[in-house]
Amino acid sequence: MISIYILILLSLLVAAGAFVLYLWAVRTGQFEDLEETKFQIFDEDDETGTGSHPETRQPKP
Amino acid sequence: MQKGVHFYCDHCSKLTPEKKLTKTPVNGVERHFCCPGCELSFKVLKQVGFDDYYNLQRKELGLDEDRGAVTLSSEEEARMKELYGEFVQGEGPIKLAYLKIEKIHCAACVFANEEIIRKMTGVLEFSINPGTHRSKIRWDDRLISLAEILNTIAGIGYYAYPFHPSKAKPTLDAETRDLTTRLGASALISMNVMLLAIGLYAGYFQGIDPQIRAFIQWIVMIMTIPGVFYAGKPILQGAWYNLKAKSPGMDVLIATGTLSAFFLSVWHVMTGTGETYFDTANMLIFFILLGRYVEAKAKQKIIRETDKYEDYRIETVTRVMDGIRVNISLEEVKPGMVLEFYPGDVIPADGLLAEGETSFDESVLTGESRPRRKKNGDQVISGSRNLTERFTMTVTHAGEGTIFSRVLELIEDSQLSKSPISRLVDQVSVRFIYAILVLSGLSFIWWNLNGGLGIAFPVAVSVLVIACPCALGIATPMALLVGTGESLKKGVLIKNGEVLEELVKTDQVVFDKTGTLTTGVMTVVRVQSLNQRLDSQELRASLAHAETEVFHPVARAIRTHFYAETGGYQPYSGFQALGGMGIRFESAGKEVFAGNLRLMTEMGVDTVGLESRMMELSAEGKVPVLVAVGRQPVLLIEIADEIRPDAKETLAKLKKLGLPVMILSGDRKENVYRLAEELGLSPDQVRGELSPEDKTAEIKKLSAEGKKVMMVGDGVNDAPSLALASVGISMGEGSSISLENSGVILLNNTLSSVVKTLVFAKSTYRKIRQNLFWALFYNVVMIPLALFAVLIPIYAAMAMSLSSISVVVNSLYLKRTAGKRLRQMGY
Repeated sequence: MISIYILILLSLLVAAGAFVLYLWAVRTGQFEDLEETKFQIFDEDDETGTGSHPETRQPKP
Repeated sequence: MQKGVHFYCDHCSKLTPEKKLTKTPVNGVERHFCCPGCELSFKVLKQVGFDDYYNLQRKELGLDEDRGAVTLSSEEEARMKELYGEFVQGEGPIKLAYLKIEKIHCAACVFANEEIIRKMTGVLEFSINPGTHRSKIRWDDRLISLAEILNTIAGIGYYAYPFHPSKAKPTLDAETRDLTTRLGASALISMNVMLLAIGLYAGYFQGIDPQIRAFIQWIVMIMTIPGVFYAGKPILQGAWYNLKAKSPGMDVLIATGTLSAFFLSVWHVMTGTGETYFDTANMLIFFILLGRYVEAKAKQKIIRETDKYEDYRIETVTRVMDGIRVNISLEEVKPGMVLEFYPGDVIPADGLLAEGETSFDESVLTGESRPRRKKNGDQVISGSRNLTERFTMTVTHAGEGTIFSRVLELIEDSQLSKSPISRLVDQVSVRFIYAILVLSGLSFIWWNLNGGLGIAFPVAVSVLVIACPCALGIATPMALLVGTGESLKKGVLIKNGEVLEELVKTDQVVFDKTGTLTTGVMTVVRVQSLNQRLDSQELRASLAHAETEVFHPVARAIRTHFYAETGGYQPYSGFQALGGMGIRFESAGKEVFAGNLRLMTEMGVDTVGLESRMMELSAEGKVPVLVAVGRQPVLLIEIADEIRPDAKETLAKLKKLGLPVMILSGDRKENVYRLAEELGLSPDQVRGELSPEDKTAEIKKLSAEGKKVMMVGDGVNDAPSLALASVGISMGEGSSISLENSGVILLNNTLSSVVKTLVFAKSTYRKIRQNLFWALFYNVVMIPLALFAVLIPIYAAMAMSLSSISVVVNSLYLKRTAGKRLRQMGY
C-alpha cells in the first residue's frame, strides 16, 4: 500500500508543475485578449507599430 | 503642540507621532505614512504619475522643505497647477474630478462607497458606475481635499485614483490578470481535491483503511489552505472590508459559507471524527471566481469598444509659424494657432481648414464611415482623422473646449449615471443580505434539531450561497452598459438611465424646423440661366472664386455650388463687397454684380419681368440672388434651407410607431405650413412664428395634458424647450447649449437616428426588466430548495454563478435583438 502514498504525492508535484506553467502563461499575457490573436495577421508590422493593440505588443528582447 | 517627535504623513499631511508612523521606502526615498491606507494611496498615485500633486498640495498648505518638498519657482508652480488641473476641473471652490476605483465587485461595494463618501462634509456629488468602476465626484475645496476623499476610500478597502476620461487608459487588465491567476489556482486545487474526495466518498460506502483515510484528509486539507486563502483572498478581503464598513455585500455570504465549511472540516480532521467538506469550500470559491471572471471579461470587451474614443490621444502637434514648423505639446495649443497635419493624423483640436483640401474620417464621433471631403474654410472636428492630403488648420478650440472632449465627458457621465430602478436595487440588496444571514442561522438551528449536524451544516451553507444578490445587482447596469454602448456605435449618445426610462414612456414627439427637419445650411437649389450669350463656365467659376472673399451663408452656398459645378476657380479682379446687398467684381474684363433685388435696382440693372418672380421666391422662404454682367441679368440663383433627405421617412416611421408628431418653429407661418405639407403633416400639427418662450409654453401645455414629450431640436433657441421636455434630443452639430440641455445627442446628425434612439431605448428597457425577472427568479425559487435541503452547497454555488452569467449573456444578447428590431424598421 506504500504505492498510494507515493502516487498521491507525485500527482501533487505534477499539479504544482502545471500551476507554474499556468502562472507563466498569465504573466506573459497569454489570456489577455483571446480575440486579438486572429486579427494579428492584419496588423502592419512597421517600426512605429501602428494598428496593433499597444498592450499585446511586447518589445522584443 | 503635540509632544515627542512628529512627522507629516506623506499622503494626507496629517501630523503623526513617530510611534504610530509607517516608514516605507518608495522609489528609494523613505516615506512616512500615518496609516496603511495612506501608504497604499501614495503608491498608487506615484504609479499613475500623479505625485506632482503632493508638491502642489504642500505648497498650498504653506509647508516648508523639511519633508523633502521642493520649493517651486513661479513657473514650476504654474505647471503643477496645470497638472492638478488636468484631473481636477472647476473654477472657484467647487471642484470636479473623475476617479477610477478598483476592487469593486458588486452592488453592495458600490453602495458602501457611495454611502460613506457622500456622508463626508464637503462632498456634493459622488456616484460610481458599477460597470466600469469609474466615478465622478464633486466637492467643496474649502471643506475637504481630494486627498482626504481618496484616503477614506482606501481606508474602507478600495483603491481610488484620479482619472481623466480623455486621458487615462483602462487599468482593468491588472485586475483581470490577478483574477485569472487566482481562478486557475482554484480550478487546479478544486480538481485535485475532488479526485481525492471521490476516494473518501468511496471509502465512506465501501470501507477504507483509517490510516489512508487520515492521510488523504490531511493532503486535502493542506491543498485547501491555498485554495481558500490564496485563491479566495479577494472574497475574504472584500467580506472583511464590508463588515468594517458595516454594509455587507455578497462577499460576506460567500466568506461565511466557505470559512465555516473549512474550519468545521479542519476540526473533524484534527479530532478524527466526522466527514470533511473541503471540496465544498474549494468549489464554492471556484464557481464564484468563474462567475466574476466571465463578468470581468464581458465588461472588458464592452469597455474596449467604447474606449476606441480614448485611443485617440496624441501628445504633440506641428505648429506652423511664419513658414517654420515647430513641434509643440498638445497642452500648449491655443486658439488662433495654425497647425499642420498629414494623412493618418488624428486631429486633436477644433478648427477651420486654412490651406489644402482633404478627406476626413469622422466615424469616431458620428458613426458614419464614409469619408467627408473638406476644403478651405470648412470646420474640422476634433477626433476626426485626416485621410488623404496634407493641410493646415487654424485652431478655434483646444483642450477641454473641443467638441471631442465635451462628447467624451458626456459619454463618461452617461456611463456613470444610474437609473432610479438600479438605485432601488442597490438599497434592497443590502437589507436582503441581513435577512439571509438570519435565515441561514435559523435553518441551521432547525435542521440541527431535526436531523443533526450532517444535514444542518450543508443547508446553512447552501442558503448563504444561493442567496447572493449579485445577479440582481448587475441586472440593470449590465443592460444599460450594453444598450448605451450599442447605440453609441450607431451615433446615438443616450446620456443616462433616467433618459432611457423617459424615452420608453414617450407619447408625443415635437420637432424644431430649422436645422432639425431642414439641414440648416443654405444650399443652391436651382440656377436659371437668363442670357445664353453672357453665361459661361468661366463666369460661374470666377463668381465662385469671388464669393470666397465673403463670409456669409449665401456666399458660401454659391461658392460651394459653382465650385463643384465648374470644377475649379477662375481669376477675378476689382472685388468690392456691397454691405448687405451683394458683391461687385470683374471677370474677363466685364463688370459683374451678384446680389439681391435692391442692389440690381441701385446699379441700374434691367430687372423688368424678374421683380415679381424674385418677390415670389422670397415669399416661399427662399433667397433669390441675381447675377448681372454689364447691367444685363444673366443668372437667377435660388438658395434655400433644404429639407433633410430622411425627414419624410422618419416622420412616417414615427407615425407607424403610433407617436403623434408636432412641429414648433420660429419661422414664418407660411413656410412652416408648406414644409408640413411636403412632409405629409396636417396644418393642425404645426405652429409657426414662435419665440423660444412660446415654444416652452407649448411644451408645458402638452405636459399639462399628461403627455410625455420628446423634443428634437438644435440651436440656442431650442435649449429651454429641450430642457423642459421629458426627453430632449439634439442634433450633434447643434450649439453647445442645446447639447448640454438634452438627454440624447445624435452625433451622426441624421434625423433617422430619432427612430433608432427609440428602438434602442425600448430594447434596453425590455432587457433590464428581463434581467431583473431572472435574477429575482433564481433567488425566489432556489432559496426554498436550499432551505428544504434539496440543494447541496456545490450546486448552490454553480446555480449562483450561472444566474450572474445568464444575466451577463442575456445583456450581451441585446446587441442582436436591437439590431434585429432596427432591421425590421428598415435600417
